[in-house]
Amino acid sequence: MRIFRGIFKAMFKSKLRDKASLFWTLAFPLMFLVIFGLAFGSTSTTSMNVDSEETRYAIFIDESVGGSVQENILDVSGELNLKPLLAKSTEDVEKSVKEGLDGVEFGVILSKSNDVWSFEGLYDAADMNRQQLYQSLVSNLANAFRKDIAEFETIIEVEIRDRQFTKEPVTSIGYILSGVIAISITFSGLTAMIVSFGFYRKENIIKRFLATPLNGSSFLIADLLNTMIVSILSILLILVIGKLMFQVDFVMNVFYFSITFLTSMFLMMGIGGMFLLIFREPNAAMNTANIFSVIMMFFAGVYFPIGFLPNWLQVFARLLPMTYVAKNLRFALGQDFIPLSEFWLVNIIFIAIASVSIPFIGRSIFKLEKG
Amino acid sequence: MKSVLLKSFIKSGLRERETLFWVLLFPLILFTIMVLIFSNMGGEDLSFNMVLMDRSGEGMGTTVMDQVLEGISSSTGNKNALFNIREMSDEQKALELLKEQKTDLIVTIPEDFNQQFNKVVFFSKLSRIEAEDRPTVEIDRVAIRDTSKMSGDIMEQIISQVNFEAAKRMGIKLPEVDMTNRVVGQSEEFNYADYFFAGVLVMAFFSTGLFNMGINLTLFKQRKIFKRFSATPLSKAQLMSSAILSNLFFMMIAFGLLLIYAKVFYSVTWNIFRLKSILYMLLTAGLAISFGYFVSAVSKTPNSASGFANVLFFPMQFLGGLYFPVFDLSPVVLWFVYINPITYVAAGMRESMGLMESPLPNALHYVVPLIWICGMLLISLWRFRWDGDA
Amino acid sequence: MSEKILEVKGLKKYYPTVKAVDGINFSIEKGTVFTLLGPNGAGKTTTLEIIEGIKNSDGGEIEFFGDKMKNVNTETKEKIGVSLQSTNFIPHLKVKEVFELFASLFKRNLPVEDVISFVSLDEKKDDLVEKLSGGQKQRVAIGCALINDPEMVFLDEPTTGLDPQARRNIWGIIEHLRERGKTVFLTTHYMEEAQELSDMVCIMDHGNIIAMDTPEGHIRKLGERNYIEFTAKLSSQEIEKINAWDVEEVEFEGEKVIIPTKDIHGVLEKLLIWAKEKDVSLKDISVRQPNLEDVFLTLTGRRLRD
Repeated sequence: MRIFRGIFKAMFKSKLRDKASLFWTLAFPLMFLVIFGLAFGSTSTTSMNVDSEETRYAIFIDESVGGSVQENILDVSGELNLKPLLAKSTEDVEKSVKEGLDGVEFGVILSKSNDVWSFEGLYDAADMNRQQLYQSLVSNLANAFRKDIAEFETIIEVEIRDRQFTKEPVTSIGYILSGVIAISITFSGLTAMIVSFGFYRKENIIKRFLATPLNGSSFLIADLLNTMIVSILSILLILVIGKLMFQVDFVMNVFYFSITFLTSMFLMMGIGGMFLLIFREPNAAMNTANIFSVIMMFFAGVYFPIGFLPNWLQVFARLLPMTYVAKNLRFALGQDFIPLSEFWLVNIIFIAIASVSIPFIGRSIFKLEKG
Repeated sequence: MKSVLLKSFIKSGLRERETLFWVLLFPLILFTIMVLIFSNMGGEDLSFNMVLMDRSGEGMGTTVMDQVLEGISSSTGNKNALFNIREMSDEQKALELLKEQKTDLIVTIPEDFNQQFNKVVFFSKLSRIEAEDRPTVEIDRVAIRDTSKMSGDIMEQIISQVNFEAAKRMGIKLPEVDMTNRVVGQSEEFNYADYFFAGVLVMAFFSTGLFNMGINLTLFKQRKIFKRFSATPLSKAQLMSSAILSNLFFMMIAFGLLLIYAKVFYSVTWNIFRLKSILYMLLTAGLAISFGYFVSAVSKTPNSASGFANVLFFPMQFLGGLYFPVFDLSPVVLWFVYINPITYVAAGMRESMGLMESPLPNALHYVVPLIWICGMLLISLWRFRWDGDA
Repeated sequence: MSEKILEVKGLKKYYPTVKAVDGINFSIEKGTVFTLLGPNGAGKTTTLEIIEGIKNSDGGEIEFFGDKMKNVNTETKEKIGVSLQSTNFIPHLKVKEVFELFASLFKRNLPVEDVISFVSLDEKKDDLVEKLSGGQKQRVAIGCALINDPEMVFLDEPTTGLDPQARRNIWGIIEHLRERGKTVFLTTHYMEEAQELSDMVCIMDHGNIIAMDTPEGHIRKLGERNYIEFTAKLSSQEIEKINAWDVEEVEFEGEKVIIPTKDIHGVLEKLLIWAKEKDVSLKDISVRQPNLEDVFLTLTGRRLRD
């Protein structure tokens, strides 16, 4: 216990004084949260909040239309919670859209030729994210107009029921927050073994300890514990900032969250350690870990739903561990639901891989040193 | 003498595996990822999972719905089908599947669907039929899940088209409507690959400037390499210009690799003979280099240079319009967007490539980066210590 | 005869392309300074690391404090102190914290403040180790080797890369250790260090021990030889002329001429007369006694520095 306390204390102080490491572990995930939260937190690429104010759009009704359809436009716009702003020309519509004049978000040019109505939707190039959504609105507008002109009543109605399986309503920032926690755990875990076994070995620090009664397991456990403490600190900061800055509501199941945290951390440590065993040179292992993290960030459903990826990429995405870390975290934070069986299965697989790989890596590194 | 020094800097960089990866290879990876993801959103390769609970039995309405569902289902062998449809009768089980993310939405055709359908079809001309008496398709989805939300919206649109088809068959004359879409200020040949090409190019230049140049200059300072050179006839101006040129060399290699890759695999439309964009690229390179110089001027060790460069670059790239438009962000960050020089070079780069008009006044694409370059250079000239001492 | 604290028999360590340690035997008496002297690549560090328990041997036996073992066990590690050839410590720790860490690794340890004073780092105890000079860092390494009040201390090239003043400081520490009755196992490639500090010098080359004796003993084996050294540009005829005198083979280190001879007076007289006659300028002329460098050269045909 004395030896463990000594090595743990030394590693803890070292970690707290390592500014670069603290930046990546603490500040970097927070920066992610703040930037992505502010950028995407109140919006979704595919939805509008129907309780929000009306969406304004500019519309130019070409003289080829003949007759007055303004009433129709007003009626159908009202039904769809849209507010039309009549423009005098196509150029006016383009200008309004481009410059966002009077809060205009998209534009419509309505014309008619040979009994065919033409709805041309105009969108701002700088608003690429929401183009799909606006196209959908224009399409709805065109359909509603069509029905209104013909005084046609819908035959088949659609009733949409938005189900919520969580105790509290979930926002997109909540989703982002669990993604950020997943990233934080991943970065901490992947780099932990590389630093303590890779860089320490390179600097002959491990070699020096071999000449003392310190055994490998004390060293390993002290390192794991230190990494976990700093990671917990990072997660707490993320949760606090998420709550204070973005009013994220989460109903954390502490037990499930702890399990997810532990198994995910250990798995990532195991993967980081495997990189070290493969590449030996710690800089190469660290670079590989960074590349792996970046790829997982993009493909693990943290910032883009996996369902939006091409099918073949979805298969790849479902092989990435961070996909499951993020899913489990959302579940543990009450932000989405997965079957309990899936939750436990993933955790068991994680811990099984880690319990084999981490001791193996520790033994291998010490063995390498002893030649 | 200078060319030998320049060659030495270049050789040193080319032998650094990290340089090769982050400066040359990573932009290709990032570009591929971004294009793959964004070009598929709303694209042909989307598919969703649907649970269908058809309680309607036999009837005209069912027939109509069956035809519709056949058209969108993958079970007919249609590889581009939107939905993988699974039929169930147990509502609880279906909701469980929705809860467990095993399906994106549940579509229910209720028992009285055909009755109500017939009523509407045959009797709507006689008297108005209220909405609650009309045949209703019920869609259950989870709004917070983007795929579920999107699939619900798509299904709603499909039903809308079904209505029009049904109306046609009923002999109801509906006006024909033709829908087109146009992006204002964007070239006709625009594609996502072009958008990201410009963004990733700016990222690659800044990676080289901030990290390769910034960290390496700091390293040379710390290891007294510059101090050693100062004991030779080499002037400081020659030394710095060689360092700058070597980084420009890497930027050009990065650009060339990215361009070839993007043209071959993603058909980007960038015209290499467009003088405006070449000049703008040089301006961007100059901005990146001035930032690298600044990082090395204020950092004592390569570690602190790396940390500082990361702190700078992370918000700059994500709030600079490299990967997504930033002008409609919250006012809390919008101020940063407008002082961020990357915002201007990203918009300016796209504009100079003829891809899309910038929402910013044209002069700002040049003035703001130039102001930043001057500012960075002034601070760096004042702070940079050749001998590595504070 | 004092008791043996360490005995090594048939120690081997082989790598795929080289026999780093090829079946060596030696023993060390308690309270002595034992030096393993040899050029870079001789196998000194490998030998030391096996005995320290850092590396496993491929054969042979180690008898430590009367206990026989193939590889050093944890109990033995409690009794030894080690300073490696190049040591770094867990980063971002202060000097005092590093000593506290190492103190915690042993059942028995000296007060940290005493060790800090012993290695003269009182003023630096609250500084981060990475901010210290080379010599100060080496003193930290030696301090860590002493923290458990070991019976035997292993110092692997403790003064390599240090300036003369720092080197003298380390020598002073080693002298103090000897005075306190510690057994010191030292490796070095500096002849003067071995000569100055050691009770016993074991010369090693290419994984083998080629000679073991006290420094004086080694030198005595060279006979009554002395060396005349001077700097001059000599032609081959002039060299031939000198070789014809009562000298052993003339040696060269750049422009430095080294004449080993047993007849120092006779040869010196002839040299001076000849130089005057031929108007040959003999710069920096000196006479010295043989040293371990000469011993190594005689034994191997190479200089320690080569």
